Amino acid sequence: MNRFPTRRPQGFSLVELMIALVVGMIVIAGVVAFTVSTVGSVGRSIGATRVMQELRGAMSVMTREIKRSGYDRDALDGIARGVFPSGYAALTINSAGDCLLMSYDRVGVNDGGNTPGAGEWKGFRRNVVDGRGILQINTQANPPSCTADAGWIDLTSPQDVSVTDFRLTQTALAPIPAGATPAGPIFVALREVQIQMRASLVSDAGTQRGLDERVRVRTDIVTFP
Amino acid sequence: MKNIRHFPFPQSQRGMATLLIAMLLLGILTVVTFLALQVGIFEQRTVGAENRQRMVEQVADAGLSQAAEFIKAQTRPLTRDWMSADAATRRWALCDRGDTTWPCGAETSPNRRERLFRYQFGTDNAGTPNLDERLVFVSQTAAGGVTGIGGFTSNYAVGGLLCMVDNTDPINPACATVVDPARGWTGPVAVTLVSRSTIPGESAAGTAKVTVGSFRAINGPPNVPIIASAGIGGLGSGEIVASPNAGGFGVPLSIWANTDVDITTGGTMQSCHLGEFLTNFTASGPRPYDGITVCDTCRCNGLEIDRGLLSGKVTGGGLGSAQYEGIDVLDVDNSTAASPNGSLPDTTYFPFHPLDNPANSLDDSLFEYIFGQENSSEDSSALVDADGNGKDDGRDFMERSAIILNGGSCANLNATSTGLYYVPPGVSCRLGGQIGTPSEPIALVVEGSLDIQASTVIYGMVFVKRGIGTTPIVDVRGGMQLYGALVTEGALEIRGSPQFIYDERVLTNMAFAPGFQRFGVLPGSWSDADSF
Repeated sequence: MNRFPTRRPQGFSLVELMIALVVGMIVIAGVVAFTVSTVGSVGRSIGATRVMQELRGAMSVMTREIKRSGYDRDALDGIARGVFPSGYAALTINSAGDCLLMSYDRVGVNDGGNTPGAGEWKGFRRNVVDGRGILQINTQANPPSCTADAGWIDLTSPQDVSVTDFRLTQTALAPIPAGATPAGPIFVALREVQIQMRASLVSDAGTQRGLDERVRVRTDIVTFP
Repeated sequence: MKNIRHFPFPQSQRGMATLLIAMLLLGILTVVTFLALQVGIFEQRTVGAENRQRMVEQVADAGLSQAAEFIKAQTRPLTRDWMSADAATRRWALCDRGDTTWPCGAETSPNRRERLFRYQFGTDNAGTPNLDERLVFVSQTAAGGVTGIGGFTSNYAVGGLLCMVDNTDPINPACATVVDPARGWTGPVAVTLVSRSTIPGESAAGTAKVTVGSFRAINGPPNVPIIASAGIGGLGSGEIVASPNAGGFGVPLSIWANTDVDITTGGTMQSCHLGEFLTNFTASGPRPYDGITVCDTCRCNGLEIDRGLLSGKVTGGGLGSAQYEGIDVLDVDNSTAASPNGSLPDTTYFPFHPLDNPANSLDDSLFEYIFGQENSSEDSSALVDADGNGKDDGRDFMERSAIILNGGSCANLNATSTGLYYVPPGVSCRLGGQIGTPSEPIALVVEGSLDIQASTVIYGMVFVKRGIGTTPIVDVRGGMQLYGALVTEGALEIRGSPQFIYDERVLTNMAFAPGFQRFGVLPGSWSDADSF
């Protein structure tokens, strides 16, 4: 004898089922919406990180190179000869401000020269290919040209990132007045280069990042009138 | 009944599907978030590594600055005591040609490396000298060393490589390896500082090097005993021993001025040759002192024209007791061939182009001539105040590079005082006794007033500088001797009976003595390309 009362399965009514279905749909829709938004934001965050990494990598290379600009292993000879600076000291930025050419002495390359030779030049520029801005470096040409394409290789990845703005400004911290004879027999100009860059993600032009930096060029320009 | 119990409840089935889908989506979310986290961590590591790199670079640069200051403060022993044969004081050891380790390896050319000296001395533990290649090191915290950066502990050590620049052959300059430790190296020197820095425990290390080279605080020593602009009002009974070759080989010069030096009226000034001066003494005669010949009682007075006497009050030679302006006074007195006022033609340039505008007789660039710093316009005699701070550029230069005296510290000037000293406007400086020595002379720039007591002996140069709104005054009381030169930009009036004895060796030493050496960073010498 069964002491427990028997219960017949009764099932759900159509209304009950529909309510359950709607509730389940709402829950799933919420979760899907949350997932989509999270995946989107994670994607944007990864994209932004990618842009920053591209910019930072390029900036790091540029600042280190610009800081070294003008180094001459035979600088010591300048004391005896009274000739400053050497042929390495020139750092030029084009009028558009998006191309910089410089040089420094390297061991085992063009040894014994007081002017830069092959392999001692460095160039940085922004180039536009298929509507995408690319930061490029040139270590091959002798000397590199801002307009010719020989020797330039990409510093940023054009598949992922488009460099939208790249500006270089050279400031002489104690500038020589144009057309004037420097005061005193010896005049020292300290140089600083400001680098500004902006880039956006190729897959999402709305993801934009920028990086600014100032670099003190360690080789000062000493001028004798 | 049993069968019924085995069936899951229908509502559980429906809820399970929702749960499973939700969990699946959340799982995907977790994976995506985890991936993003990885990217973030990678980014953070990159930034961290870059930051550490920057920090070690900054620490290495701080080491370079500290070592450069150390070298600047050690100009005297740099090539003297530190080159001594005595191991206790010697601090320089020649680099091996093949040594590519720190610090010798910082010089990449073996030909030059084998002529460089590496610094090799130091005291790691208080009072315990041991051979140490570090010029400055972090344990010198008392000296202001950098011990930490950005919350990290940092370490650095700076090595030094000395080159005594031998420019005998300017096309192929080399580093000298032999030096007389008693006199030191008189030419320029350069010290390459090689700084290594680390952040312990963070595997961050950096290297930077820079060369500091010496230059002279004085552009060129004067080559005439008295150089004056704006006229000489009176010479009292002063005596001048001429510079033997200043006007050309064998042409002596005593006074070089851009106006008329009137020695024919008033006063009893005299000038003469050194040889005759040294033979014309009363009590104790000439004696050698520190490389030159000095004489306390020698006089021009008593010599005769064409027998040593060049200009001034003549006591013989058939000229009676007239004042005579001889060949050694180069000034402007409208002399012509028919009516010579002095034997040399008038000064046509002063001091010389390009320091002076020959078309403008007002321009006097004596300050620029001596110190290499322009202080008056090329086109007028107005003083230049480029930075508009109310002080002329010459005064700014002095305040930067000279030891500034005040009334009290003037009394401390003595035989050991050497280098560039400056008496600013408003300061009355009273001098007495011996000041400077022939091998380590003094350059005294006066813009205030100088009160020179009797029996003062100065080795070096006195430069009387005009300033904005100031008129320097030099008062000589009784006898004094200046072995060297007097350069004056203001109207000078000499009272008493001073002796201005030109001595080329004293003035040459003035350019090269350690007290006149300054150090500056050599353009083009900084690099962080090495790693040790």
